[in-house]
Amino acid sequence: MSTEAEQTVKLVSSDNVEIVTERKIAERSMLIKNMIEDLGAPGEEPIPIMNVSEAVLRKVLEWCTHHKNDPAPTQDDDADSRKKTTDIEDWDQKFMQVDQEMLFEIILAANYMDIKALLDVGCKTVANMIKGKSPEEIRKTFNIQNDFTPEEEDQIRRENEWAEDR
Amino acid sequence: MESDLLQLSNELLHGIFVEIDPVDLAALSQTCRTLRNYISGNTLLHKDLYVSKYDEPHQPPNWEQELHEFEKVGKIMKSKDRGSKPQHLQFIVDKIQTLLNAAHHDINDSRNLQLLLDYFMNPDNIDAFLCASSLFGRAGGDVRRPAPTAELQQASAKLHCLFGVPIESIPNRTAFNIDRPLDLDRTKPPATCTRSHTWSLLTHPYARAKVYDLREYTDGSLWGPFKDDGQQRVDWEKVEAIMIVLGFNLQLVNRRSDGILGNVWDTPFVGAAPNSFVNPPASSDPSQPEEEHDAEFLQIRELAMSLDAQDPFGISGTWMRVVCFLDYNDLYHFNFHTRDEPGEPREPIDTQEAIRLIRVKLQVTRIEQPGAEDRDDQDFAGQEELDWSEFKGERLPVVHFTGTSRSLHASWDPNANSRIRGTVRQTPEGEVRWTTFSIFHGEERWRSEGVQVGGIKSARGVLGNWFDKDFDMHGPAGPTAFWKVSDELTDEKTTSTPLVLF
Amino acid sequence: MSKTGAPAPPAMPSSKDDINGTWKYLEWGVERLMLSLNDGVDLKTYMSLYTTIHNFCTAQKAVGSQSSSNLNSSHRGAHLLGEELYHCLNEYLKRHLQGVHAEMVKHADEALLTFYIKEWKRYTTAGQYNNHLFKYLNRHWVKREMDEGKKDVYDIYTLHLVRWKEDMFGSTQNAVMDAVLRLVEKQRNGETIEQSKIKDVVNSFVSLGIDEADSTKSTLDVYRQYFEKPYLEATGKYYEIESKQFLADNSVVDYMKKAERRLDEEKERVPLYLLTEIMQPLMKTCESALIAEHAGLLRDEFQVLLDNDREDDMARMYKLLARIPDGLEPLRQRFEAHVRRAGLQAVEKVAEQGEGLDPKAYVDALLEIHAQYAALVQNAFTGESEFVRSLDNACREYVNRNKVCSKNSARSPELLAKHADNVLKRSTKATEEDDMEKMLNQVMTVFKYIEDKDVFQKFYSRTLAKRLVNGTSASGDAETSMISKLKDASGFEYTNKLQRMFQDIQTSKDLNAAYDEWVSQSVNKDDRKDGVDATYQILGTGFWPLQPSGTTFSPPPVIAKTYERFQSFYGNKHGGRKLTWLWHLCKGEIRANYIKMNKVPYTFQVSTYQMAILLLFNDSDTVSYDDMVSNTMLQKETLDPSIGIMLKAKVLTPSTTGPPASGTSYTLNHSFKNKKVKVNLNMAIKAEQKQEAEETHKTIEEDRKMLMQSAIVRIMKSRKQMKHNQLVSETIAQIRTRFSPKVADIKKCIDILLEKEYLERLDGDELGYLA
Repeated sequence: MSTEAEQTVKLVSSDNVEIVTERKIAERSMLIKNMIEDLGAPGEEPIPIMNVSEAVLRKVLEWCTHHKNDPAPTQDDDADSRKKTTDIEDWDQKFMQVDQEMLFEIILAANYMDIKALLDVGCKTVANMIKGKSPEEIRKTFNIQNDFTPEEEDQIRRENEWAEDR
Repeated sequence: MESDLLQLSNELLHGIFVEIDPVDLAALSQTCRTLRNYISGNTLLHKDLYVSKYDEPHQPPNWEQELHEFEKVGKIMKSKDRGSKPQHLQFIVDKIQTLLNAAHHDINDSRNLQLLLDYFMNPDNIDAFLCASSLFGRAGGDVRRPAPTAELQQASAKLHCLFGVPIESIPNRTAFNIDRPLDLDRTKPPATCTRSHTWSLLTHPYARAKVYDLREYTDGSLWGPFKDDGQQRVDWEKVEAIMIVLGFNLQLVNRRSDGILGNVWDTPFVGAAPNSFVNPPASSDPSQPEEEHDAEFLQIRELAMSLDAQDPFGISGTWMRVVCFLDYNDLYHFNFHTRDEPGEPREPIDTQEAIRLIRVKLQVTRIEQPGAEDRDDQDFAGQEELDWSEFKGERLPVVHFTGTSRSLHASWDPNANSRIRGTVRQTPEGEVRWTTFSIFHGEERWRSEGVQVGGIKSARGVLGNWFDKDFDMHGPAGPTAFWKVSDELTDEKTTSTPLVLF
Repeated sequence: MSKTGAPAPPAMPSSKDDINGTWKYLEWGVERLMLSLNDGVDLKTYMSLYTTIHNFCTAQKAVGSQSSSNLNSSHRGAHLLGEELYHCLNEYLKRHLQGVHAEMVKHADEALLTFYIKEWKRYTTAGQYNNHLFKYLNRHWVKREMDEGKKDVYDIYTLHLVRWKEDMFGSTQNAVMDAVLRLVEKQRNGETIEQSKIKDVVNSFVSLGIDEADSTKSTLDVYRQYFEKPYLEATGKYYEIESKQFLADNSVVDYMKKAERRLDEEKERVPLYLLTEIMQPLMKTCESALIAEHAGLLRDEFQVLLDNDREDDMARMYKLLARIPDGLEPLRQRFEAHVRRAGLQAVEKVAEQGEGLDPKAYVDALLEIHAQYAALVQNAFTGESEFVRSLDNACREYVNRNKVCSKNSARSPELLAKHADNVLKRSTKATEEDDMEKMLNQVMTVFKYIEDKDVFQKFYSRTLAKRLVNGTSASGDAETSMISKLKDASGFEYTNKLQRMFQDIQTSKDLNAAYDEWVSQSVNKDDRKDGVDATYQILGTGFWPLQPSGTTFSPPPVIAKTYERFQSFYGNKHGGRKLTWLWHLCKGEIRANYIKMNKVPYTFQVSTYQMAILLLFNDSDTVSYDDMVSNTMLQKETLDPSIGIMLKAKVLTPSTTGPPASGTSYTLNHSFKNKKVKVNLNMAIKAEQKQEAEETHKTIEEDRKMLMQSAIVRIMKSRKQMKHNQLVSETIAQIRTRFSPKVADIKKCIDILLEKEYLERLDGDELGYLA
């Protein structure tokens, strides 16, 4: 029987690829941590990560590996989400330099696997892509179709006069 | 291809949008229906953004609307276009009032106060919003102009009073000596603000001319800082003049006494909100024997203990009071030597006046129901019924108090020690009005009328006028202010050292 | 709860936002967790359930089909999914618990308890699993609802607890608690029980304490109301009945042992299966039932125990009564009265000796009682300060107000001082140092209780003066030790004079040495022969309780020469000091060379007066009474007894019998015989002793007046103005350490001071100070 620190777990992605990783790394995910708490260490039995593909899962595990020695996430540290900073540390910033599709995949995976810190980094990255942009620039960035009628556009502009430069 | 952003579930959008600046919401709303519909009316999103940037108010507001308004305030304040600012005066005054009402009393914990401090680092904002009362018609020089209407002039004067630091108080300093608390660590000290127009007139001689103008002391204004219509509406221009004159004198005192007085009126907006007074932590040993009081005082105290609990105004405790006066000859000469046309302000006066610092201990003696008849006001000729139709909120009771005054100056002053009595009540505008009588050897001699700047239980305290209690139209009269220093009635040793200044 | 084999799992829902399909799958999963967790849940099922919930909650895209078509349609931008799942689960739990409840009512007593615990554990364990599986719901929908202030939405685990509390607890807690209480009663009756069951019930009740204001916090309210309260009630009732029955058949002493044991048992029970929070109220309940209820009975037994010296039982009683409020005060009162009685009885026994009461017997009687009960306080009452105070009160009473001092309250300090004198005086058998210290401490023990400390001081200083002047102290160390003890007890002022007396004796020794030196250098040998060898003691007036003798006296020439030489030496050294000779305290030795029958001549130890008389016989073998008078100038009161002793010792033979009187003449008895070579003729005269004691008492009265007056003046000097009554009580307070003044005496002193115009009468009963 190996100690907890040396234990490995076997994750299986949605496209059925097995990835072996340290238990400690995997437990950055509250989903996996809680599951092991409930069912015990799975040993050789693979854990199906049903909503995450191999490519994304590897990316997520890369993040977890880098952050494996961070303070353990607690059950409810999202309780005081107001204390956040808008800064993203350098490594995370580089880590997030991926195409938009992957960025959103990471966010979805972090949300599904319940990795609060990674989700935060993802959200901040997207927020930074929005900040200071005009509506048109935002549309372009995120591939959004303008579906307002001209009359509606008028109405919307009036609604947002408060933010206009003067 | 569908946008990945729009594919996200609501909780994820929320997670992203609480990280952006509020103004970015406007841009997002204008991209497409989906986001517009997501953002508009999303109370929780607006609340989260609001509390990340502003102090959380005691009563939940319309988060979305108020967030927009505050952002607009920021836009106006940060605008480089000087000329466009004055048109927003009323809006700015209203919103700053809202920001102040929600402000945390400790400036280090208050985002609102720090924001306001930042806004008024910009001299253009000072000129546009704080220096637009009628006073600046003469004192404003070429850059400060009074607002076009009397109403706006009042609004600016009120804002100046809430700001609380006289724009310029000491002649040999620049006009922008707004002292910051050291721990704020601002990278840009106020002195480095650049200014294209460097010269402006001193305001205090003009303010003094208003404060000592005995024509302003009328029955309709209760001889205090009210408008002359008998409705007890605050005349903020009078309050502003009082603040400028007292602030000027207090700074002189402070410079002469090596700051023994501590920081008074030195940080903008601090203490200008309701309930902003917080009793300082007791530094003295509680077992320390209390100062000896006579039996009557002790009896009053016992009664007061039970009354204190019902007093909404936080009267009982130790207060600092400042009183200024012109030498009587100067006052008489100033008022009766030349004949100014009625309505014409008197010439600015630079005469050095005297100042007295007084420690006042007050205790509640009696509480009456709201709107109780005011016998002291029956002395005023032609007293009218007050119109309460505009009053908002809960009517508070009328609270009476008594106490003692001890001058911090040498005891040779015959006016050094006296008793004091008075009343605190609301005006129909909801302002807190203070009336006091100073009693020497059992005889009432001086009366004062004042208004508490910042509202109920503000730390800033009361500004007003003092005058002969029999309304002698030849004076003497002058400005006075008092602010609370402690809920306790005992003296701390360090502060009981008398000041010898004059 | 019938298990008909696990149903086959339904398929995971095909469509993410299909609530029916989703719940159908989830219900199957939740049911498995609820009913057959023991069979295990496999990883795949676990992850499937979590994913199903996650997928359902995230099914709604911002790009919904419904609202984006119309800009002004009613929309909820912030809407989150999950409410349906929450309600489904809530309904499921309700149904589930209905089933459990139906099963539970079939059980009774311990079986019911067992069932409750088993079900509780099963249910809450499943609840923990569900809490994790529904984590996504907790994170978003539940959190949002709670943020918005919804009071009836809880996180999933708390929801389980809330359901249990509503659907199970309310209707079963009574039966559960009855079973618990019966179990505890069994244990109290000596049976072995399964304690863990009670512990489980406690844990369950504690878990159900959900703070209504904030469901994320817990309170002990449920536990307090439904567990602690009935538990305490049952405990109280149990011991009320038990103690009554036990007392009916057993002695109080046996009852105390039983109560002690019961209290220990209850205390030990707490950590076994109760919350520590119950300790205080539980002990209070037990103490009330076991002790307070029977406090009267216990106290009545106390006198019996005292009378029979049952120390262990008294200790037991003390410990029991100390646990209830105001339990000990009645004991202390009884104890105090008892000690006082014992002390008075002891004194009464020795008082039978009458006038000639032996000081040692008296002091020993006082000490014996004190020692006995001080030991009792220490052993039985843990030396508790309140009992020490009671002991002190009792001792003070019997020391100061007993049969011996019924006529004269100053008798106690006088006898104590005399006893101290006997201890400190050189006696035939040498006293060991340790014994001396012990005896001095005993003196101090009594001294502590003496109220008239000034009387003791007076007598002590007289006896000390005598010991010093006569050199009869057993040990200088003992004397200083005693003085420092007195100083510790009563302060510097009290022993100031005693210390000065000591110093005088020391200085006198040095002075004598210096004098001898001076004599050998400055006086020629022939002149030296004029006088006699002598030592001198120079005693400071005012420090010593000594007065010059009342009689006139003309010292014989040889003595006169001697002291005149000393006087001139002393005068040189300390010009201006006046020496007064206290002849009545002087003594010397005289050799009887006229008696030839012994090889070694007899030496008489005599007073100076006797010496003056005997020296007359150097000129003639017979001297008349009148010659004695004219030569010595002694007055009759002193002369007669001085002669008397020598007559009695047969040194002189009178011409006629009868008391010495004019006309009688005295002849040396040449055939004087004595067993010893040294014969002491310098014996104190009985009459003198008695007179001295009376005088001492008289000076005490004088001193007291002075003390009171000076205290009054001191007080008034600082206060300037004061009410009469206040002044009296303050004066008492100031001098209480010396003696207990009578109010009437103080009033007299005030009157004297008014007369002397130190004080004046002001308005009312105010007095003023006149500087």
